[in-house]
Amino acid sequence: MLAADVVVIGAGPAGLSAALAARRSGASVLVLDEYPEPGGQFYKQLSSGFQVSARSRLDPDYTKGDALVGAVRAAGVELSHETLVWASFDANELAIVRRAESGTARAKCIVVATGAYERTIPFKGWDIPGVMTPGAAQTLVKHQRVVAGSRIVLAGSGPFLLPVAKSLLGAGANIVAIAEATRPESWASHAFRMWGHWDRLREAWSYRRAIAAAGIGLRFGERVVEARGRDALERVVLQACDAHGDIRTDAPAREIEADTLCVAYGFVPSVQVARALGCELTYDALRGGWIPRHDVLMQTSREHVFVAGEAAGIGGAYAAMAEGTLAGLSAARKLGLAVRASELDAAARERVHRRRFGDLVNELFAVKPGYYRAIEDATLVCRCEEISAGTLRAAIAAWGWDVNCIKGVTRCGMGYCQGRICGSTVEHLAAQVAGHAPGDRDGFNMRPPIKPVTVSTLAQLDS
Amino acid sequence: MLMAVDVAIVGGGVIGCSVAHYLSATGARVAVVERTQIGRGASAANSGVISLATKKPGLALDLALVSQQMFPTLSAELGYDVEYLVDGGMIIAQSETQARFLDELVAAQRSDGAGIAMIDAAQAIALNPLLAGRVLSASHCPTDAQANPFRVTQGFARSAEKLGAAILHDTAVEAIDVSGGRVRSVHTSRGEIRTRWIVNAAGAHANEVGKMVGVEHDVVPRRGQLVILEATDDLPNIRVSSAGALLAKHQGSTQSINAAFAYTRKPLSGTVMLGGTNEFAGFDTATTKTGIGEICRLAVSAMPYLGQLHALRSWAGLRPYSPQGPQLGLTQGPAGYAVAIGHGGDGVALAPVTGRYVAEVIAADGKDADLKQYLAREKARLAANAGQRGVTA
Repeated sequence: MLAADVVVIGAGPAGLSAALAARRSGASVLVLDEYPEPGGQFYKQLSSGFQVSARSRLDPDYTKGDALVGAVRAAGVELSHETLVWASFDANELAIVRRAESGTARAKCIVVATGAYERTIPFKGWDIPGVMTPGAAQTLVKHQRVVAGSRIVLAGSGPFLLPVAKSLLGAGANIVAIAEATRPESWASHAFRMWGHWDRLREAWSYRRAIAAAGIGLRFGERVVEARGRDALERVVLQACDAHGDIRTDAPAREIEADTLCVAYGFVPSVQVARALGCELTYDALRGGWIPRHDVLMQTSREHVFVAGEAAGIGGAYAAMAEGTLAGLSAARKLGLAVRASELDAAARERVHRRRFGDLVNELFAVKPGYYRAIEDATLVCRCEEISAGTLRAAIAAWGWDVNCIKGVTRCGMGYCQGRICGSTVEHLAAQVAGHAPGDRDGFNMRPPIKPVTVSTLAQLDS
Repeated sequence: MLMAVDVAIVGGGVIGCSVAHYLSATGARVAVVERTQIGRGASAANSGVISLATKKPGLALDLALVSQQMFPTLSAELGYDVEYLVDGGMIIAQSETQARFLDELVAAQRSDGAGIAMIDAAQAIALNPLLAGRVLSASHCPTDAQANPFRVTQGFARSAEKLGAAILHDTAVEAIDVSGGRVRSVHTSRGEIRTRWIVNAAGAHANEVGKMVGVEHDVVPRRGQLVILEATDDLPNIRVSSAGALLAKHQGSTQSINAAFAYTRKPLSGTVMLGGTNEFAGFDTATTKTGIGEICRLAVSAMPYLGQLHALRSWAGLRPYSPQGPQLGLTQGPAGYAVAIGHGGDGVALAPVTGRYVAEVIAADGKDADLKQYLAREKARLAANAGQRGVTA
């Protein structure tokens, strides 16, 4: 059994910042993370199979997290890697699995910093091998130094496409096209809101320059309508879309030869752990959908549970770090430790500043209803149970838009991923068919385990 | 006043919806009053298993016998596929006591007309080669089946609606008016419903509804936890459960969590459902560490192969348990008050017979309402039909 004053779930920018702030305030801190190395997706490290002779010569993508990870280790935070939190049966206890061993972690306070996963929106051919998310392609490069294919198309929407392009280019990838579904026309009107966010703008500019230097065509207002190929991806069909995300059928489609297509539409907060802890959720379309309701000091509806980073709503790594610090300080304060008001204030101000930019970016790349309207009836939405959009739309028309009822009658969301991939799509389809806004009704129920765990591991559970 | 009907059914679970379907088919004006959504309580947490082998001889087995015969034609009757599948079931004896219990149970079940037989360990393992550990004998019922509980519930609800029933969801029952010894109306969060009959089909909440007409029921929520495993090919489809748990259940044990080994394959999805617990924990629907752990331990010891499969989800439902078992039709209380309560974990399995019987009682205005006679009549009819087809149980 593990135990600490503060248990942080997730070792990305938010979780590490929370751990550091809580530890520096005097709390004992334990960080639980599913991956073998700290950093999360943002500071993704090389696999431990690689020998690094001179760390300073690595791409800054690897070393930008070094200071934070180093500070966390130096401060005496305990890190537990390859540790899955799969349920919580008691307010102060997390059920964990570490390398197939079942166990528990007890905490006085908990910080949920579980990040986000990419928003996949189905389209014709999205299940052909060679189609993946940008994050998956970036992980292959950052973690394994493997470039996913020899002719890569990046598509979808969101600021994340640019750093992925840069990572892939840095590894020598051949990117043949980048298509961003939104258009930059509206950006100019928001220029004043970018004032002061110079570090973020410089970063964006560096990505843009890398792409331009590589001579890659970057098109706006264009979406993937189809992926073609017999056994693996051969061609990608792109077509212009309007401001609602609907395909402009008057525009000609362009076909590009490719063996890899990386496509996603931003991120969806990962809230399963927060739900398992009994935190109330609220729907925030701008920040990616369902998030744990929280106050300005990151406290959730459960007073010993705090949330930070993408799990509290999509806002980017810098908002995540600011929020992590704030959540760590709040947790320490909740424990009765001395936290300086000035420190808390500074963290709260930094959070507001970073969230402001995050919200601006969210607005520019907002998820459009047309992305979901465009899903053809024959396209599979639930890949695990092979349920098509048409089956779902018919079920919603017949049985109403309660997604848990739709799950029951169609089995959509009952497969291996437990609705993590299709859940958001089903909610959007249900809302569209029934003529409501997504989030007016609950999403899929959360049924432990949060991620699959073997029966033999669960059989080790003691009473 | 919200509306006037002949029958107001309190509770939109599988039982209430089945009663609504069969009543609407008789031409009665029906309203189903559901506090949340259709099929959100025990119906959503039901295993979907339609079993004779697990039934105590007497009323429970007779109900199951009649209900099971209604399932093969249910999809056609509802115009909706309820995914009814017959894969058989067996109950394994893992000790001498359990073997003796099974021998006696099967003898009594057979004399009641159930097509169940005892088989030896080798035959049991031939039917399910993944069985390991101590197996002395087993009871085998080739007609044991399953259906999709969501589809059975929704199928009854939609068919009732098509036949004219009003389904009122998000509508709470607040009070029931009784005067002159007869029910008169139901007060709901959306207004008053005037009615000649009220059917209590409120599942685990049956006692609250009974109190509104001055009747004490003895239904308590009994929590059942289940674990679902990932889909895999080539697992045996036959259902297997252990006699030990059944023994405890038939003896009415209320000890600890009463975890029982029960393996049910869902052939359409390829997943496996592991049961289950039988706990008295009030209205708490949480799964527990003890419950999940015990279910998985029992599964690994009876079928070790299952250990390597991933559990995808677990959940718990509240079965409306009554020590008397199911109570259907007229009971004490004012005229016009009928019940369909106490089904335990057999709500889906017994929904067809429950709905049809309660509908017949109400259609006959409460005359000729003896359930035992009804079941004896139905069994005789089924036997005669089977005889005509040259089929023997």
